[in-house]
Amino acid sequence: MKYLAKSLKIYLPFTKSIIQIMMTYRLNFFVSVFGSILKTFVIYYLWKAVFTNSTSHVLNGFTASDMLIYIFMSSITAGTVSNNTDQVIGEEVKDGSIAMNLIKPINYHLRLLFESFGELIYGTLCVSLPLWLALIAYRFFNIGELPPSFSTIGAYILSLIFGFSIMFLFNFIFGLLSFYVTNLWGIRQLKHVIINLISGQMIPLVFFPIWLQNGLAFLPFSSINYIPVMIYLNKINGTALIRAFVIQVFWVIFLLVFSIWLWKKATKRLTILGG
Amino acid sequence: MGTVKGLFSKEYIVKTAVNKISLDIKKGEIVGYIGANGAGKSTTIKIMTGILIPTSGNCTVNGIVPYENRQKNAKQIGVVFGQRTQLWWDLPLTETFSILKDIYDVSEDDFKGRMKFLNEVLGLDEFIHSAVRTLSLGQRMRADLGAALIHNPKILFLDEPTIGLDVLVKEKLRKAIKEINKKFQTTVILTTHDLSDIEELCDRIIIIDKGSKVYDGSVNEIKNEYGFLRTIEMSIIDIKKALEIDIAKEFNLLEEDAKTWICGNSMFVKFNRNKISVSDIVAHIMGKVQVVDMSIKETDIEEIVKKIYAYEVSL
Amino acid sequence: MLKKYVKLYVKFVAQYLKVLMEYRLDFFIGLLGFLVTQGVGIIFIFIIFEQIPSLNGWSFNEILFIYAFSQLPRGLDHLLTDNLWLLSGRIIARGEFDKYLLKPINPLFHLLAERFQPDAIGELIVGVMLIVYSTINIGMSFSFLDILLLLLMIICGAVIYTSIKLFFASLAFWIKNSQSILWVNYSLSDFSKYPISIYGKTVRLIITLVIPFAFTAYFPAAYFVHKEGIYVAIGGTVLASILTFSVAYYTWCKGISVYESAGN
Repeated sequence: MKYLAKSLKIYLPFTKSIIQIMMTYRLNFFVSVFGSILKTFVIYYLWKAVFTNSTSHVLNGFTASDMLIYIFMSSITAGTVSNNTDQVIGEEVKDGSIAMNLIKPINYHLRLLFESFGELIYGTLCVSLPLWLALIAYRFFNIGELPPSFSTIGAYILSLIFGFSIMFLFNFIFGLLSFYVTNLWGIRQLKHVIINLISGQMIPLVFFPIWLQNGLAFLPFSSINYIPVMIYLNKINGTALIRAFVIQVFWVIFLLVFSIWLWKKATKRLTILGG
Repeated sequence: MGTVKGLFSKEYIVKTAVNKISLDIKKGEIVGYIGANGAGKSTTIKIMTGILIPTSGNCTVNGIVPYENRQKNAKQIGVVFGQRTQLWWDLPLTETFSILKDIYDVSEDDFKGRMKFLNEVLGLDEFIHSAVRTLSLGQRMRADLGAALIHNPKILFLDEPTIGLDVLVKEKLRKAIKEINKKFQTTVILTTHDLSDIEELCDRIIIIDKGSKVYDGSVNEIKNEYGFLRTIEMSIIDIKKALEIDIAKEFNLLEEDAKTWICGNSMFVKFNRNKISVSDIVAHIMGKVQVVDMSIKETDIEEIVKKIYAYEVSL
Repeated sequence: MLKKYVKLYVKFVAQYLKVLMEYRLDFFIGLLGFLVTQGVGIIFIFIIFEQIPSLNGWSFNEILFIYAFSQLPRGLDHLLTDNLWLLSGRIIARGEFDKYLLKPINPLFHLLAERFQPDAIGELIVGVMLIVYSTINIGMSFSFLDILLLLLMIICGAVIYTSIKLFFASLAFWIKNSQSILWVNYSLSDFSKYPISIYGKTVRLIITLVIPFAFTAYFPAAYFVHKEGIYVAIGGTVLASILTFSVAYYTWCKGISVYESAGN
């Protein structure tokens, strides 16, 4: 307990400083959020048109109503679990300050994790939560739909926590890649676009051809977005729910181990080459 | 922004001054422009180069109003900012010059001739093929200076060109500016915090403080008017005998007019040459001890300028 | 005079390409990034059309055509005017704008010529390939006049893109950093990739009359698949390009005079 308190004391300031930075640049932040919302609307309109043009009411288990919620929840989820960890690592590699982290008695993983908490807290309070409430309100006042039950929301939040951890660890690993690549921007763009697709942000994964769905099952990305959102929509429950959690936990552990191993390799390389 | 008055003449550059003071600078002069940060130096330079419009008053540079005819004015001026480069960052230096040749419509012959000259004077050949981003600060400054001159501008504006440079490079740069001025009669307006730049380069010095002109005259004048302090250093055998000498007391002067001190085997006297002459001091000291070597130093500009600031003396 | 600018521009680009060869890997990654982005968009359309036979009267190939068309003006603008991003985000905020005012050439030309973004070739390649593919599948035939019109529309579309970008980038003269606004704007352009009939009234109004992205892709493409008339589609696009450029250039000039009055 005492150890926990001591650790918190060391790492919480990192969270605080990120929140402060985000508050300073909040105008830029909110404007970019607005840009993302615009993109979500394009996808929403497209799907709306698909349902209008379709002869059946249900496509792959989705009604038009389901789809609306899916698109927006998926967008909100993506925004919540995202973090800049890969960019932070990339820049520290580029300007050499990553070497400083070997000198300080601070765990690099934990420091970055607590910094990402800053993004999580600020993003959730200022964007995700208000947007979600707006969605609930819209649905309630337009079609009298009630928000999901507490147990569903609880399951969603649990799944979200796993998703966040997976995203964090993946970004950490991806960031270390920057030792080998100089055009970070281009690679991040690539990563962003691909993950966008295969985590189910634009298209629920059930719409993909079976062979692709099976392939994607071997990757952690569906755990970042698709699984939490499907849980929210109550489309995964019972034993399937347990299975989904198990898969997410598996990925958390796997990526954790992998990232620690990769970090050890990286530090070795740093100390040999001198940064 | 203060009011600005202007004079017009083909040979003169009309300079904007702040607070209703105007100056004229003859073609080919090298003028040093000093002032503390915020005194108004950058503002005046910006008006003359056409990137700032004065709120009132006017300014003409070689017959052109810079902020009204910016592109036309741009053809006759060259500008070097000490802090920021105008070179193309990722490209080899040769390409910058090649592009500038086209931008300024420099003829092939003129280009060749000037590149050769700039090369001799600035030593550009050693790095002309390197990308600008790989150059050291000193190399970059030399390159920026060359780039500002390739179109043989009538007026060269240098804004803190020697900032951050080591002594050798500063020397080289100053020498280059002098040669260019000599060969092409380029008028040079130089802002700087480094008073040895002024001392080495400038015929004339203008001091600006809080938006007003505080001094305008030749460097020699300023030394004569304000540089009344001299320092004599004398090497003395048996320095112990010199310990009792105090020029101020013995000539009945104030401490500030004749300060005496000893350091190692040398005796120093810092004196006001208006109150006492060199010969009097030397004769007096030689009468008491054996002097084997002697040197006299003038006051440097730095001290003079400090004095001017301190007294806020104006013309 | 024009000759001088053309000669200069060619020189700028040639130099930039030389630099590029040094950073080959970076270039390919950037290129790949754009190719993949386009690919994902196409996959989306594909999946949509597995569910429905047509989208508001547009067949799969027709949707592909408008999507492909939208890449060309965007890619062209991206290729040539990328420096506007830096203007909005860095150049004015850091006081680096002076040098554009100190040369005897048009400062906008100077700014734009300085940066050439070859990654955008990805967008252009995909656009061209898709246009060819979709027009063959639709069975469209192009007369010589049609091809000229097509090129004209692409150029006008690019002018609209650049003008909108120029307008928002110029705001940096007033607010120092307008990069995030530029990014929102870019997101808005996504709306132009699809038939505007799928959008609500407000959206349609905005992208047609306020920030006319609809004229960069939808209207011209709709003309070629006979879903919009020539006056609205062709005439509208040309008009939109002239109007947006005028507004944007005026804002740019105003911004410069503000910069010159305030100093920095």
